[in-house]
Amino acid sequence: MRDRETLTSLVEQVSKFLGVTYSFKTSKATRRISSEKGLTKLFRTYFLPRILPKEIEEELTYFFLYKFYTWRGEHEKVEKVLENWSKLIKKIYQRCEDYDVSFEVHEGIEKLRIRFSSGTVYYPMLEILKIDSVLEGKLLKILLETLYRSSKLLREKIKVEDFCGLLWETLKTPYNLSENELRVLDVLIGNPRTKVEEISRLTRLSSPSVALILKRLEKGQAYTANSIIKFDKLGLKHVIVRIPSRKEPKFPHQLSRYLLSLQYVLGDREEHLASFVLPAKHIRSAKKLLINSFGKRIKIYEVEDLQFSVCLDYYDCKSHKWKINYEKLVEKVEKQISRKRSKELEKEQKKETVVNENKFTFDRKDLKILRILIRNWRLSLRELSKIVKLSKSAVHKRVSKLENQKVFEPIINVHRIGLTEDIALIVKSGNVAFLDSLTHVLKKLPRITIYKLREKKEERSKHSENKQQHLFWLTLPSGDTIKFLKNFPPIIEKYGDSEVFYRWHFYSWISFPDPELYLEKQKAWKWY
Amino acid sequence: MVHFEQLVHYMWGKLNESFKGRNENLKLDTTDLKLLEAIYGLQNLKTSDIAEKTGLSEITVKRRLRNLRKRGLFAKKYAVNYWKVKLIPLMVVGRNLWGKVDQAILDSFCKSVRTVMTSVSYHILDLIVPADDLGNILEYFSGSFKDVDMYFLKSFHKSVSFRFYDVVKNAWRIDYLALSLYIREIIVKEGYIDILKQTSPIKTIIEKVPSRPIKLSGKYARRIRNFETFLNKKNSFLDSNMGISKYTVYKIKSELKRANALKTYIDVYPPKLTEKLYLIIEKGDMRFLEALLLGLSELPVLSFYKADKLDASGRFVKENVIIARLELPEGGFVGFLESFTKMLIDKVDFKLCLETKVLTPHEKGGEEIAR
Repeated sequence: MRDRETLTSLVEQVSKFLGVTYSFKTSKATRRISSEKGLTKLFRTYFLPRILPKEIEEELTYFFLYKFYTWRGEHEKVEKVLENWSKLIKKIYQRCEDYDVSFEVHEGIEKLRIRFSSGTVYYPMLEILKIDSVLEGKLLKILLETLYRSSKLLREKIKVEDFCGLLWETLKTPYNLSENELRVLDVLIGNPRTKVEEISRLTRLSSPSVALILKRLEKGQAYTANSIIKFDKLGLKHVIVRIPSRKEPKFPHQLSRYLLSLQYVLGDREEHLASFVLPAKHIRSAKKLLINSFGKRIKIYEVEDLQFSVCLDYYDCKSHKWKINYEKLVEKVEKQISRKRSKELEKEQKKETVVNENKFTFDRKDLKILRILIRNWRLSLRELSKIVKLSKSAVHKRVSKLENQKVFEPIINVHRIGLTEDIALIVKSGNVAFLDSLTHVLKKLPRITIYKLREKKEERSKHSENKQQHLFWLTLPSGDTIKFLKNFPPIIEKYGDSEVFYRWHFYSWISFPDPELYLEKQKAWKWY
Repeated sequence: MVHFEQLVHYMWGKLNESFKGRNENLKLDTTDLKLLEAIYGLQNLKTSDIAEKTGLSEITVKRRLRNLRKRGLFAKKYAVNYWKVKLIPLMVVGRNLWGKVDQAILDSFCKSVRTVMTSVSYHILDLIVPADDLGNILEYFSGSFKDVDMYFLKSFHKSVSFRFYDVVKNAWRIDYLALSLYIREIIVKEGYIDILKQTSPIKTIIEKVPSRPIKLSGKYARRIRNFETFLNKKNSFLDSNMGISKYTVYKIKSELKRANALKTYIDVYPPKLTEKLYLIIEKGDMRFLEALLLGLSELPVLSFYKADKLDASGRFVKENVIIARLELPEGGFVGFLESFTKMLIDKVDFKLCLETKVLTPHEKGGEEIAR
């Protein structure tokens, strides 16, 4: 029985569990203590850096107990810890008045939500456990390492919000892809619909090992099965707005309901990039509303086409690093223009644009399905039918209808494989061949989203030249922003103008508007 | 047929590449770090002093320093106190200056040109202008270019720190978020700034002091922009390109010494710093700026100018502007951006740029130079 143990033996075990070398000297070393209370005290006094606020100290202690008992295989105690933890969680956070504490129901699960005055949202317990599984159970170790390092610099206790930032830093710990994982992922990116058997044939791996690799990659959040939605087919228009302001913009009620994302970017000055999907019928009044609220300095672009690409060609499995030769990529851009590659590309694009133009009707249930598919299209029919509350066959019919009509396009998105730096690049050029070859070459980079933009009509008519605009959202490996900026802007300046933005804050990210906004009887989206 | 100059440039490029490669594999242990910090702190290469400060034996210090010097981790450098010889260091920041600025101005006054990126690319021109020509130069820039910022530099400071160097992993490990929290702590805690000032690694390299300046003769005043670069350049085989003869260097050196305007200092070059950032801060509260600089001095390399912003007629528009240059390891730009922007936006007007190229102005078309 491990009810009462000596302090020394407990310290030894905890040090072993946390992977920390701890020299322990005290007169109470041989004292016997009851395990849970003793462990709590021991962890707090000897292993937890003293820069944390009370709330986080308590939470981390519970988290430690949960992990420690799991490690020792004492499952009864684990359950007890979880029970106590969830009981106390609200009490812990309600002590402080600096932030809003509320419960939020999301897809049937009740989550405790803490909102700070800056707009950051933090979900204490559930979020920590989720991140831990992503980091292969190493969260506590990584977090403690970060906290130890920070405690060498800091003397005062930090705030809960600051801890939230430190916690998210741990997610930057990259997932190291092995050679087999890379091969599997490469096949999947080429065709997201590829079945396990087909992958195993192409990669020459056995199907159980392919299935295992896929599971491991999914659990480690190295990839997600997302999809691109053609909003045009749903009577919506994708719009990107640039708002030059330092403060977080407050949108009128009807606009905020259609807001997809809002991010704070830094370029020549501070700006906000907001992305909306607005009802196509009301696009004019929406634009007027935007100009009335933020003045004429804002820029409104309509998204004509959206492309997403992931490429793992430059990933080196041995060093687990990206080795991108930007100089060669720039050379390729020039070569392709001279080779008239653009003409071939145009042909390809024309082929792509010929799609089934049948009239497409949809209802709220379809929208609900799309809302789930955009995040994970690999979800089984059983799970889908549970969430949408329809029979399996009905769901199957609807999904195949959506797929036939090309309303959604499945894609594979990669995360956590050393991609940490985000830049937005707006290129304006009258040279179509250049834009095409640039797009073609940039698709070789790890992850890129390309928006073909069209500026507001009134403004466009002022310029005599008909210039095309592209917005490239690039996700680059750590330290590559400078390499990109050394090589690409000079060549872009030759053929047109460019602007670069660096993202440093995310306010919100909703991938799909609320299906309740769609009025089934009128077959229109709510406005006013 | 390969032209001789092309060959030299090719060799120069190769040399730089090999130097970079050597720098990447370079390993430093705790003793090395101690020594480098000590020589920077003491600004002295006396073995006895260093041994006393670090607690190492004199033989070890001598041997290690020899190795460190060979690996190019520190060097003795010269700095000219321009104000003492009636010269004014100016910094001009603007769009598309390179290629548009009159070549005569570049030839006579420009020390270096840096290309930096914010949203678009900018150029930062380092100028050394004789006091009599200042008015003309200011008029030229404000008249010929739109949105040009001109700064009158008052002092130059630098700090080197190895606090974030991880000896085990042999790499930099900077906790940007923790550092920003640390700066907040410095501001809030009373009296903390004064304590930190005493132990801070920030060194004042040159400073404008109220003294009667000696005027340098015209022909030397125009050559002086290359003088500092010449003295601090290690490789002398490209000296013919500097546009300054050894005799002129000797003459200028003796004149500067007479004016007590030549200063030597020991500069330390921490390895593996690939990203250079420019941070131009205007309209800052003095207490915040002090705390910010003390906090930033914990980063590997911080060098900054204290300056005043000038308008076309030479009047001071904004006082106490800080032009800081940070040298950070891979991924430093984004790390800094994510952790510091929020704090800076709340308190000051600032411009954050990423350095992409350094050019020497004395050759048409420009030549990229290494450190």
